[in-house]
Amino acid sequence: MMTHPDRQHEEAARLETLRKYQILDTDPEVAFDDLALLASHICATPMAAITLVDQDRQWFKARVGVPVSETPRSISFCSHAIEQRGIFVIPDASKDERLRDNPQVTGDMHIRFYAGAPLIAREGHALGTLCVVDRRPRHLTAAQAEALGALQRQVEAQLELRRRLFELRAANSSIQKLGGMMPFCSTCEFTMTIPADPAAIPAVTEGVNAMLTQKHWPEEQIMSIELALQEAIANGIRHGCGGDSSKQVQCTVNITAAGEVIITVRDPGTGFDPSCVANPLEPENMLKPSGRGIFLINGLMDDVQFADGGRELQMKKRRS
Amino acid sequence: MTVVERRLGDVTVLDLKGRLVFDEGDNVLRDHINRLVEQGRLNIVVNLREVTYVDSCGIGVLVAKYVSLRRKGGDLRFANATPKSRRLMEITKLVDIFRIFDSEADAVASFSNEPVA
Repeated sequence: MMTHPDRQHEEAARLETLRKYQILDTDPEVAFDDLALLASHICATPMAAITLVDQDRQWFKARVGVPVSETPRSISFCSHAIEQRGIFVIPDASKDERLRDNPQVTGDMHIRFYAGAPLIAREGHALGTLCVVDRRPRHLTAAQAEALGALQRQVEAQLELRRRLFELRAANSSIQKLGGMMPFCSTCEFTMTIPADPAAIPAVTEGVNAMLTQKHWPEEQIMSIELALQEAIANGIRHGCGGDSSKQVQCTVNITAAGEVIITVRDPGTGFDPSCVANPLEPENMLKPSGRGIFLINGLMDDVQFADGGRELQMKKRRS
Repeated sequence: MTVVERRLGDVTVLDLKGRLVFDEGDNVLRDHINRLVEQGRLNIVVNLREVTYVDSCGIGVLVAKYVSLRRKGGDLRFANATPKSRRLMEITKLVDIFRIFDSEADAVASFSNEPVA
């Protein structure tokens, strides 16, 4: 067994990775059983297994012709296989120095042939193997070895899928818990400092959309608020920050207990005179490519006020 | 935003997908239409079916390209406006200027029915 401190550290990391799959001692699953069955048929062996090498044991997630669900690690062939990469082949265990005294070789199991393909986790650790076993000495043909490698990749894909499902469930659960709080927030206020980078806008507008959706605001009103917010932040970035992404736009979104959204957007620019903004509906302005942002905000929100020389915009909408 | 181009005779259909907004879809669409103009392809239908979001900058590009295509004897017409994009065109009164069709086929056919001078 391993004694070197580096090896011990490596083994601890490997076991930690194995735990992330939450697979030890789970029930059999058809996806894994099928792959073990295919391995035994293709390699023409009476036994095949998907093994996971735990601290002191090897446990079988799937097994064909193997009578037990686990064996001590000390007599496991697979713990040799996971020490290297690529298929580990023992043509005749009775002639192998490492294994000839193994009770699985000398005892009733009478194992002679073993071929195990290590199952590699995304971190690079070998978790166990897909292995085929026979009671007589033999070899794998090149085609069988190639097929065993392909099946091993399928087992890895199944393991990865399983782990991602757990990760997704955990992420989803924390999102639901956060979102579940929203209906009970009598007043929600978020104060944000947004980098003057247009790529940052959707995180804010979509977040406010999700918040209002959670609070069951009408879809049409949410659409209006989201667009007004998009326009206000875009104006702040383009005009107030001159597109300089090292500058910042301040934004406060307040959803009051009385059913009103109050949004304040403030930029560090030189300001402007809101009364000088041209009406884009005037015939001479209809076909101009710009000048619709503030007009839209006015049309979409109930109340729009400018302060501090045009540097601060406050807009409100009452729930209908 | 992505733009997929299809050529149906003299008409070019642009399928937009994503956000037609400030610094995202606006530049992509402007550049794409500019390239078509260089090739002399002036009859363009913008398919808005998969546009998820439009803001004033997105509208601005549509207006600018509408004006430049019309000046060159072509036209920019629209099909499958989503409720969001239609609403924006209503508020800005562009529904009275743009030719917006319920289907792409109608928009494409409109060019052969009433050839642009």
